[in-house]
Amino acid sequence: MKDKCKSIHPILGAWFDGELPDHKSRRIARHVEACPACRAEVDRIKALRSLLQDGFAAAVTAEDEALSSLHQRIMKRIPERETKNRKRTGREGPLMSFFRFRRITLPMAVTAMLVAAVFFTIYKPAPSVIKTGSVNDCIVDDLESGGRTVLLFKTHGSAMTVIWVVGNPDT
Amino acid sequence: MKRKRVPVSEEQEWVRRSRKGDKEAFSRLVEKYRKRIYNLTYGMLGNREDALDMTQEAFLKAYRSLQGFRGGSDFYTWLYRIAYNRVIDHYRKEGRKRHVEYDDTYVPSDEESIRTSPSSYFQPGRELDRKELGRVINNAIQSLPEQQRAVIVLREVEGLSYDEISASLGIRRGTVMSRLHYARQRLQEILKPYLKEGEIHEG
Repeated sequence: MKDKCKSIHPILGAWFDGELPDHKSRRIARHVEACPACRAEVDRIKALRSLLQDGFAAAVTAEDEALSSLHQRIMKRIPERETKNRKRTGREGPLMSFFRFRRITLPMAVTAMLVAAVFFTIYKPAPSVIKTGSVNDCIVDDLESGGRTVLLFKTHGSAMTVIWVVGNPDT
Repeated sequence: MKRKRVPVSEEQEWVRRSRKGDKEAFSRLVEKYRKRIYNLTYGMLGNREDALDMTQEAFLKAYRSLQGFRGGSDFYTWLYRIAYNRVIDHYRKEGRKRHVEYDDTYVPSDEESIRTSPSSYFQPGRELDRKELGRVINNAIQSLPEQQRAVIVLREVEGLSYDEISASLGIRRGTVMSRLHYARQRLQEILKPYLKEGEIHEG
């Protein structure tokens, strides 16, 4: 074997497979065209491929039936994932299954939190009970007439005015 | 060997539906690839029972792992990878891993060739019927180091490119080229009686 052939020999198969870069491939093509020994090697690679393909086709074609049964066995061993899901959602009812839907649950939760945050920021309930100790601080005016006392005062945190009539109307 | 090609988008749809638990879609994938996966497992193991078992395990494992398949690679290279790994596991379990440290340049000695070659089938000049041809090819492939078997099957029988083989087996492209070269050398030597300058002796 010539030196040139020796260097090409290990990559002749890759050349035959079309797996070499263009510049290298062109160089080998020129050599193979001119070299009977390398052409014979390419022929052997080609013949080997045909032989292997025929051998496999012969072995595997005989297994068509076995592969068909195998297919059925595989499908039998695969769990019914969809059916299980359907049973579960059936028990929960349509509303729960709706909330289970992941794409809706998360945005809804975030929206609900935002609405709650805005509500509690704006809303401040008026005090329902005014402590006695703080009444004097709020008194705006007091009027006394005919045994009755009228107190006017404002509640904390709002502009509401409260009129409180104290005393016995009969006296 | 010609392969029937299904448009990628259709296959992607089968994969997408399979991931959601659609058995019918997965069945289409099994139908398309069962023979190809069997080719690989049979080529690596050399006996039909083990090859059928490994093919089944590979598809079941693929179904369970579909959530992890992001479509970054082709479905069939991902499937080949699963099948290949199943067979490697099988080798380990069965204690059949003869060449623990794989030497890609490994070529058996003459004595070893005689011992491992199915010499009884090699009768120069004799034509083969199809059944015998299948047996001859199988014995020749089984005489290769285990990791060369997968490469030769994926290239010569399945027609994968070097990049596809690299992705399927998780090895470098250069390693594919090297293993293929040594496997071809070895097979040419063993099958010499049936290879006559491009002609094939076949019945």
